[in-house]
Amino acid sequence: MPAARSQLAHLYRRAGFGALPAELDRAEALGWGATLEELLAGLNGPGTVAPPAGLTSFTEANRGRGNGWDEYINLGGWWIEQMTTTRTPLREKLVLLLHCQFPTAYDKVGYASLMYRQNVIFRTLGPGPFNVLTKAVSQDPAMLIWLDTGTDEKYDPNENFARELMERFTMGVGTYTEEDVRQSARAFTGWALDWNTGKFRIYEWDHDYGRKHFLGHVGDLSGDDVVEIVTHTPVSARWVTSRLWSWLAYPVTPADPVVAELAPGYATDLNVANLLRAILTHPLFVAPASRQGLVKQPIEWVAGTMRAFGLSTASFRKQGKADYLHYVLSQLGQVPFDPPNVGGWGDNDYWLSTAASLAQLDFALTVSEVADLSEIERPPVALRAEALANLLSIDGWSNETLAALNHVRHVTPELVTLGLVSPEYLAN
Amino acid sequence: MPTPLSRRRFLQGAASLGAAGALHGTLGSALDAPRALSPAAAVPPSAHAASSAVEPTLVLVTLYGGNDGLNTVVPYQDPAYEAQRGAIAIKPDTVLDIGNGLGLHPSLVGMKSLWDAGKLAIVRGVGYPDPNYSHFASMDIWQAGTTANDVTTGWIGRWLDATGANPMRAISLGANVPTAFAGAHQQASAIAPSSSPYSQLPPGDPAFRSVYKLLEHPSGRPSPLELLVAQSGTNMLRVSRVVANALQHVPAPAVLGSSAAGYLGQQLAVVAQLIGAGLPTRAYHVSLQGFDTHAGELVTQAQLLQQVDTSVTGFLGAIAGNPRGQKAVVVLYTEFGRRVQANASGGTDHGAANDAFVMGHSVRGGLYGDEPSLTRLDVDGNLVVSTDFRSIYATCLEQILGVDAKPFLGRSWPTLGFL
Repeated sequence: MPAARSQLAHLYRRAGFGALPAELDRAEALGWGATLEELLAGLNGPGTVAPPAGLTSFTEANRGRGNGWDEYINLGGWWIEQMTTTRTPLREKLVLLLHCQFPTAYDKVGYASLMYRQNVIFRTLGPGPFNVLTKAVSQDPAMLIWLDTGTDEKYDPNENFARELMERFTMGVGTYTEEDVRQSARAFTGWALDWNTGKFRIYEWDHDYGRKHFLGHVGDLSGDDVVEIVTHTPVSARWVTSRLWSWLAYPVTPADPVVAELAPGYATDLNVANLLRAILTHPLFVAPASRQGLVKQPIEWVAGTMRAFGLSTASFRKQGKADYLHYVLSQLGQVPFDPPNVGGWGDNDYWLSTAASLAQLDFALTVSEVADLSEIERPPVALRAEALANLLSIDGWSNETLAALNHVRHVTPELVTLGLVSPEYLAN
Repeated sequence: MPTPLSRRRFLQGAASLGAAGALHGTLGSALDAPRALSPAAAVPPSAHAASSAVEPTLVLVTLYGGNDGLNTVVPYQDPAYEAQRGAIAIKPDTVLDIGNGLGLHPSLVGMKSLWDAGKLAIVRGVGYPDPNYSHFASMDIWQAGTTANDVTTGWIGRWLDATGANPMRAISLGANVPTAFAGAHQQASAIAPSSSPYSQLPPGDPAFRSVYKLLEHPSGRPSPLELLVAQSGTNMLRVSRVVANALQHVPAPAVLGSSAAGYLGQQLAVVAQLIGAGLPTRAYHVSLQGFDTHAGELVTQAQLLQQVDTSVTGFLGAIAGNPRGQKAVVVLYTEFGRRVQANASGGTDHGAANDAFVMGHSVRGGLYGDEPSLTRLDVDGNLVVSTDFRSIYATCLEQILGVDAKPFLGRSWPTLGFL
């Protein structure tokens, strides 16, 4: 693959879910700068999408028998289909990364309708100021349930949300004291979900209006004040920058030089869209360290493959595999809306295990059964391996993989299966 | 569109590739690379019964979220207990008395029987200096086996690094291998907590092996991550066939398939089958989430402990008739204990010192370590650590894995007498 095209394919993999050959053709004609601008422009606008069909509202579900397992399975499929059909891939990618930043699990929240509502916040507020986003996520029912906000009392606060707000969502571990945890927990007393309306409210009689000493600030700090304080700390700028850089380029700690370089710019406005621009336009984003810096997250790999082959959840349903996507993502270790805990998922070697490899094989075999493979089959036999690389928008194959692919090039489903589990496609 | 015959053909490939043994014969011949397995693996399951040289096995159970040890081993005769715990204190008349003023949580009926039989060791006051109240930082400390924050390998992972490349030595259940089982160069194999992915043998077609060939003869410049993908795939082809064969030969213990045994039971069922099949695996990892009981602790913890009790005691019962099972040791731990004083949410916040549990047919039951005081707490209101967790690891490394613990833990730690 020519260098310019290869770099554009990298951009589409990281700032989206991969590119179709036609998209790469168009991007090549546009050039790097204009393609990047187009992806970034996708962050403008309201970001709303049609909700999943048949999703019962929270208030209705709460009066009746909940949302049910089916609605949760459908919701996961709905999100994957947003990834496979989006016209604003960077925005869709950001929604996934914000789920990774604010890991919240259906397992405890228990309502598909609430997981959906949180997802809408990521869509609509994600590209904007991070303090505004953090406040909205903090007061949203899914988070209120997930970290037990509103279960405590004025003089006896629960530390769960206050701690994870700092440790996972905004600042990073080791950047605050245990006293900061206790003081900020007081600020969130009285915060609660009103189960009748499904809305956030503050029970004033249960809120601690006393003086609090928190990260150098003193006063009657409210929960909103705490969110403002933590999101505006210099350590938060480094933490948020390091997280996004780690998912888009290669894993770094908040102490990494590239983070030190980018964090001050982000700190001026806390604007996530501007931070994404700074990351994607940074020279190191296209350096070899980044080009070879990540193993695809299972959701990226599954959605990208479905996108390449034009598959939808219906493609699997037709084959009598209605829950298939949920099943295989669970075997791969990454179910959307169900991270293992508030720490979320890991990266790179976290995704590689013999169990995950077997699940990769399962998905690859299934795709080769349900997909229309005529694009790969149309060229002469000798060119089929190359056609597959082209469809998957990868640079090409190593000699070893090419030999393996050529071994089965007469049987297209096998060729496709091998290509999908190849190191060249799973990594990078 | 071509007819979807590929799956079957791949499976046939497995049979035609000198892996016939995997389908019809012994476990040993299921492996295509004999160098990778110890000779024990070449022995059919039945032969193990006669073997006296069976080595012990570690079954490490991680309880994620910080199980509340004070409500698990309840100091119910200490007046400070009810004073501090209030509404979430376990009622004295419901605990399962084990003497010394202590009682097990009412869900732990099976573990009480183990205690009575002298097969349950409880290590008290376990932790490390300067407790970290982050789930993830504290779990990293436990899994790495060190408080140094620049160590990324696990304590079993370093043992893997030191003992070769056989992918069967250590097995973790579930897609993601925990830090404890990952070394710098070697990581434990992972298998799904269910037999269904293995009910069809994985492919043995030569094409599959060559797609992962990068590892052996890299051409060009494969990235380190591509090499890791290849290593994982190569090991998968080997491990899956052995596992599939074992699961086919040994039925899953019914008790572990009950809803009470839950997800932990599913994982331990597979471990019981692999032990029953005589695999030479020396360390297994299973886990259960959900112990972070900041609110509504009474209900949540009772359910989780019931799952632990049903699955662990069911597991020990299922492997009791097997010589390898007789030497299996189950170790249960969690990243930290919980705050002595309850919060107003009917729960507890993050704490420090905690209990660890060691169970098995070869375990010397009883209490180990010092009883923590409920009134002399640390500055954050937590139980004070009296036993370093690395004493448990040192005991496991020396008594189960049969190695000098010092190189794996950085220094010597006093061992405990439970083995």
